[in-house]
Amino acid sequence: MAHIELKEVSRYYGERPAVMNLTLSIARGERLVLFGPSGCGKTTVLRLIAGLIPPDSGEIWIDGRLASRNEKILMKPHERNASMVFQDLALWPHMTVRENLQFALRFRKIPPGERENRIRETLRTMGMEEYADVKPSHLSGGQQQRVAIARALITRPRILLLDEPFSSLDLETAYRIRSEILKLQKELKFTLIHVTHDRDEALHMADRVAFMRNGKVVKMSGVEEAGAYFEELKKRVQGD
Amino acid sequence: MDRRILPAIILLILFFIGLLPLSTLLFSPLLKGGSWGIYMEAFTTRNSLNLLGRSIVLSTSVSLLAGAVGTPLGLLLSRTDLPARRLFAAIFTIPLLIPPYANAIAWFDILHKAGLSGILFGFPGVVFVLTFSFYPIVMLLSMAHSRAIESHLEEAALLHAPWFTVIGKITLPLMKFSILLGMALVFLLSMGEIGVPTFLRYPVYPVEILSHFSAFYDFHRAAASSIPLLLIALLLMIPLAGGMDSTPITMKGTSLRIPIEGKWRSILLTIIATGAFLVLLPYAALLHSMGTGNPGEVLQIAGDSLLRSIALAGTGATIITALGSIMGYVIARRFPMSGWIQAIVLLLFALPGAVMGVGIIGLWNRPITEWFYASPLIILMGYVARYIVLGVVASTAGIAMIPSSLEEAATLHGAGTARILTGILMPLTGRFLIAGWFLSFVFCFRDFDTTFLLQPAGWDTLPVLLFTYMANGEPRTVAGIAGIMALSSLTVAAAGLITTGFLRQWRT
Amino acid sequence: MRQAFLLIAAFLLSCSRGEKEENVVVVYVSEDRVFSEPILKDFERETGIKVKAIYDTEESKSTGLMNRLIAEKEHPRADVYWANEPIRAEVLKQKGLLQPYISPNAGGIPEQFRDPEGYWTGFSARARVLIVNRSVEEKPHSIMDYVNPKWKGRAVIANPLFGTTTVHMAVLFTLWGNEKAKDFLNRMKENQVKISSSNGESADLVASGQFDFALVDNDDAISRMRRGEPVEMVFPDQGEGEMGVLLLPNAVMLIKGAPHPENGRKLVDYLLSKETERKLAFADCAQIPLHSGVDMPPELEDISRLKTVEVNYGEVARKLEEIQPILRKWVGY
Repeated sequence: MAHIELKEVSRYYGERPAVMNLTLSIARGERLVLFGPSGCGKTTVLRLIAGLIPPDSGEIWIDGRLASRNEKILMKPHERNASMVFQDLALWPHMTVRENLQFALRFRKIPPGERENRIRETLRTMGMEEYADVKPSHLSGGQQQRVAIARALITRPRILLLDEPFSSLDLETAYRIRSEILKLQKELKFTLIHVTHDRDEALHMADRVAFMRNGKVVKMSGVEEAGAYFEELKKRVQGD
Repeated sequence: MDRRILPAIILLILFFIGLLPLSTLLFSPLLKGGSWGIYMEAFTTRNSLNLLGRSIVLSTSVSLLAGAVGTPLGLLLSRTDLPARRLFAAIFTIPLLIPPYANAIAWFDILHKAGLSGILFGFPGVVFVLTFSFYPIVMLLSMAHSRAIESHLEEAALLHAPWFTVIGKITLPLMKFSILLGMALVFLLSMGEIGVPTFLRYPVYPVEILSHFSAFYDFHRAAASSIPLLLIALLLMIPLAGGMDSTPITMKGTSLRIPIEGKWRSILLTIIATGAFLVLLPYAALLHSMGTGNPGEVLQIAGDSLLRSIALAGTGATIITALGSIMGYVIARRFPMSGWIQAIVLLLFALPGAVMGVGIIGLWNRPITEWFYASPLIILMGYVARYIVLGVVASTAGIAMIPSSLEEAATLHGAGTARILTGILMPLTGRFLIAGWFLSFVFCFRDFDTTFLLQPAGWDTLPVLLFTYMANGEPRTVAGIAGIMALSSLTVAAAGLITTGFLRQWRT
Repeated sequence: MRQAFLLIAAFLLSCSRGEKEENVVVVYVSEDRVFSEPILKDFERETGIKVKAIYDTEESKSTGLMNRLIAEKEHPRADVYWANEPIRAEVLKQKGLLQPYISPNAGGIPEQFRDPEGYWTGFSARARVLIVNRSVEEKPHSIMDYVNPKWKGRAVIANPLFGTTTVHMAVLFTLWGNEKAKDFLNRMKENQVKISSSNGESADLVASGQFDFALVDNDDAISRMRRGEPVEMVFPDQGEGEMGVLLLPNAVMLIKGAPHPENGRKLVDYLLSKETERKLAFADCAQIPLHSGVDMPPELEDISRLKTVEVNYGEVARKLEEIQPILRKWVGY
């Protein structure tokens, strides 16, 4: 059984379609990269899966349960066991790092003692233990990134949604954090859906790459095939 | 440019419109060989301390209640998907548009009919009427701020918790500054209110000031008695300044709709509809009991005053918005001396209108400035001095939400402060400035104390006309004038709500 | 948008030029606007002098025009002040704001109602009367009935911190001395006299039968009678050895340093005429003319037939300040 299924999902912003008739099946533990120019609907797909917005038509299934259907959200976002790292990170500025993580755990059934352990452990994994009581505005960009990822992972989500979180990082930091996520994914086996328009990043993270344009998936390919497709795209652009 | 120049110019302006008249009043007894004694009396006589205590308790209660009513109402009306929110928002704004004294009369009238007027007298009644009159301030500020919260902050939380928790832990804390600010304004307004406590027979501190005026014609003592009010206003600055520091910079984004589902939908709708009914009830009863006047006749009496009111309030609000946005910029970007600017504008707002008015007369009523004093310009000056804080607040809140990188980018391209203000900040804070304009318009429009003392002969405004007709005037005429006032304020409020975009339907 | 600004600016400026006109008179008016405005309009029509008036509010609602007059002392804007009672005139006289003027029309007005040096002149008085519910069999006839156990809990009086009731209290303190007056106040309290917010409210409470009588201004009583409510008006203390009814006349005065003194005098003359007194007698305020032989509605009494309180208003004015704390304490402030 697929972990996440989208069946003929459409979503409009006013007259403009963001996602059109999209059908997509993602396996448990798969790493899918959504690749495409800005405004092609990648982020909308993430928000649909997270349950932040309902589709205008079509169905979304998660774990074999109907999660959203025709303008209705049937599973609330916090019931989907999904975490997301936003492009702007969306760290809550009025809370410290620890409080940011605590909030994420509020509604998980975890004994209180265990919570503290888990926060400590997650912060250690991301190398952020010493910043637990600092507010996000006092951290550097890379550090904020780590907090955002820590906050997403602390709930041990079954789905991790990444919305171009590395676009503002330097090459080296971005590579290091990506590798850490990959390592964690292999260990914890969550399903990863990653939105990017960076070629190297796509090839680094993906099992499969979905090339999107104008709200549609124009090509779906495995990671080797994707590499070849990138070359082809490049030639096509240069040939113009 | 030296970062001290702009604040220095602002302080100079504030000095001329506010501090100079005030100090003419405060220091003249000393210059004329008086003593500090009258200043000490305000703090040492048992009676005035007692009254001061009552006033503080009263204003605290009113501001807490206004916060408790205004905040959820603001959230419900700006961010949820409940039907007819625009209509409800307009209705819930009405009490702010009517002078509090008229609100007291309206409630007295309806309770009197029910034979219950007794419950309105004393502390609970005053708290009730003042909360009724001022909660829209908190509501409007909550509406403005809650719409400016970056949607990702709430979305990130929604992945982990239901809306109810997200509102409590994310949305409300992010709005803290606006809520506190609204409550502080309510506190100051309650502190200075004379008409309602007098009518409902609950002695408060400002009555002490009024009695120095009305019974003893002793300006200096009246001014001295207003010093405790000023100190309280300054004390209030501390938590407010704290609130501002912890205010996170949020970018203007598309705000999320809070879905209300199931039984909560009907419960909340019932509560809101009942609330709206309660808001309309006293006015409907008042109009009914006074009968319907002849509209033509009333317009003939009130027409000129209405025009003058609109011209004065419109000009006043425009000056307040323009000046206020510059001050807001200086405060939001923490220029040197910006603490002083905040303190002074708040102080001018907290000062009883009559004290300010007498000070302005003393300063400007001289042969050399007669052209100014004998013209409506003097009223405008009174408005600006008293209500500039509203323009400052609106633009500070707006500018604080814009990342300073936007200005820095403009600076790199050689833009000066003026260009940055008009080219970048004003357009980006448009909604806040418009909200500030309408808020100042409403306050100028319903102003009575300042206008009454400063009006050149033959220059009365609508509230002045209303108050002079309330002395034995035909009840139908009085109701007619009050009606025109309410209607025109309502028109302005509706226009304000439309332009600030509260009424726009968002789809996210 | 810019046109709108220019329009507003033009409007504001055009209105500010008004003061330059020569044939105007500026008057500050504390008599109720609804009664004073028609008189001033008549003056304007009859003389061609433009009247620029600022009207006052009820006393409990603002600091009032008195404060403005005082604040403008160094450079007066007003020519004439029309006060609704003589105490204010005395205060202004004592503060040196007034210019003496003895109008040719003042001759017929009893001396007790004008300043001997001509600083102010009274006209058209309101009387402090008892309004009594018609169902009361034996009518009260004196303000001493406030302390008569027979009326325990049955009488009401307006808050003495404001308006004519304050003046009335000051008159009692002046006539009786502090001790006797304080004693009177205390006995009123023992007799459970209710305090209302205004004379108007007192009159309504009596009309609705919740109380038997109240001390109010005669216009409060007459307006209820004309509306057909079950009340009567009693001029109190008319008997042998009693103090008489308190009359509080309007007072008109010329401001020292007035910008238009000539027109100011014309207005003073006009207000002191029999014709003005006749109009104010027939208006809803039903004020008693101080000239004798002026036409008046049937509810009023000619001044010559009334026994009136004789009091020096200057003394009352000084007393007023002194008793403020006593009154505040009595009300419970």
